Amino acid sequence: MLAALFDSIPAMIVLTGVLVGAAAALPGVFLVLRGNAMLTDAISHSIVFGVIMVWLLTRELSGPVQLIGAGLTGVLTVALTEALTRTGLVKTDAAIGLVFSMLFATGILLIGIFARQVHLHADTILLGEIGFVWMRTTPVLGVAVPVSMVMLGVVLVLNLVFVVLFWKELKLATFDPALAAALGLAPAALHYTLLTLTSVTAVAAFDAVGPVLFIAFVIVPPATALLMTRRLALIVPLAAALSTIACVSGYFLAVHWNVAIGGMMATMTGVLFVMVLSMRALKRQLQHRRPVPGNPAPWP
Amino acid sequence: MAGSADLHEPGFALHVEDLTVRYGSSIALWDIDLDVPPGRLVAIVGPNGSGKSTLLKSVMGLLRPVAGHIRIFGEPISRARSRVAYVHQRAEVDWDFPATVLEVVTMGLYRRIGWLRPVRKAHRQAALEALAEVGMEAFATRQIGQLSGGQQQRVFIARALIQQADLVLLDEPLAGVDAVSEDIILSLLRSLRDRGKSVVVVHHDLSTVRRRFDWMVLLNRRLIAQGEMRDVYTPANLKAAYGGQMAVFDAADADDPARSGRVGGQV
Repeated sequence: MLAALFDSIPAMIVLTGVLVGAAAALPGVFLVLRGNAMLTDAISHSIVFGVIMVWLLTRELSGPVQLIGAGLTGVLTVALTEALTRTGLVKTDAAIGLVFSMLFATGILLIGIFARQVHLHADTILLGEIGFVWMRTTPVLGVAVPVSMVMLGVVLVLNLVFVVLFWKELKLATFDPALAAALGLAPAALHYTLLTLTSVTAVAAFDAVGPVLFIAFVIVPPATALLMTRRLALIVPLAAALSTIACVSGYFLAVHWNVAIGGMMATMTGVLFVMVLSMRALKRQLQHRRPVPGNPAPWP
Repeated sequence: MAGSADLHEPGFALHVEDLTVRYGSSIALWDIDLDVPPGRLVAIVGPNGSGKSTLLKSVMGLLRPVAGHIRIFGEPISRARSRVAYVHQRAEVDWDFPATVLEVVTMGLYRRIGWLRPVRKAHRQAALEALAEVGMEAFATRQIGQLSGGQQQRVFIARALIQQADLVLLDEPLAGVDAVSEDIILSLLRSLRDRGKSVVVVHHDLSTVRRRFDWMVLLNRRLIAQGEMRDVYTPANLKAAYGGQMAVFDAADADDPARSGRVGGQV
């Protein structure tokens, strides 16, 4: 039965999307809450440079070497950005833009020069091709599983273990880094680990959705979930559920309209966000019209 | 853990020596020498930008000074973290963060709970008791975003109380709070002092400082004066700290210079 699942191309495509969404939502929730969501943008673009560098050195497009090697480029981006900011000559947002666009551009150039004939292609690099994830498989317990899914599965477990183990420390470091530091709970180290995991997740999601659409999976479902609940512990599973809905509906709409599957999935995360936002606005309108006496004001 | 031989100036709750702190190219604190005896209710007073918050942040090890050292009951901050609690300004956190009042108070225990260990029922019970002390137990399950300014401040105070520290540092705890909250906070700080704890408060209102605190540190990037309130709260010292902002100072009412001038008007 399991083998049958991995024989079904649609099932594999949708499942890959679901894995991207779940793996991305875990660090995504904390990045969105911390106001650092767009660091994902920088990280995911920079790893293009990392992926091509690791490929040039090892001729490997996936696997643990890529995860770690290219993952480090994301961290490098943040470190370079902070070093530039510390000079006092460039402001933080400009520094982010400077670093990641240069790394990204260098990566694209290197692909053009060294990788014309291979699987690496500028279009695929930008957007990934989730429709083709089933083409590269690796045997797992006798079943041929897409390489992308294996990598994403490993990263999902990694992210889950990190977030569960350091739940309260992450919560404190995100809400109140000054208190976290005052209590000696190393908020900076936690933040860097979170960014490293985001980076590694971006590498794992690289084949499937590419760096640009990856940003949507990190930011949009957590931002949507934040509109639906005020309980942090519920936001992560809710974001994963929203991603799943977006992946399933995105797949079928893409097939129906014959458009890019990854693009449609990312679009659906945005559609869900707009739906939730409109419902919130509508609810607030209704509450304004009929104020309930004695009740505390609803949160903002 | 540390032998008494390692202690430096253990007789003081807070000992600061030769402290200089810089933000980029501007000097925030210059060559500060400061000693706070234990069991006092201390006000740190000075004009805007005089380095009051910077001083507290340096004590907590949140800023790296250019020069100097700081000791808490004779120990560096790295070894004294469990003996000191710090309440920063309210505006430093995002109050839209999805957390309840109880969760935020429990955060004060995270160090004692330890890495990787979950929050248990006993911890929540302790947080409820701390909330009762600030008169906020009815708000335990509220989202923090629903609180007024004074209530937010009381939650932060509860979070500091729960740490059971011997030295409590508070940055502007009375700024923008309602009268009820102000009374509750002040009487809590006094009862901490009466139990032998040391309380150091950055205070913005010169007109109320004399009645509320018993020890005073006057700061304007340099240390202007420190000591018993009655010795430090003098026209000459206040003028030295506030300079031009004391233009309306009336020498005839030397007993309470702040009353006569508009010194305390800044927020």
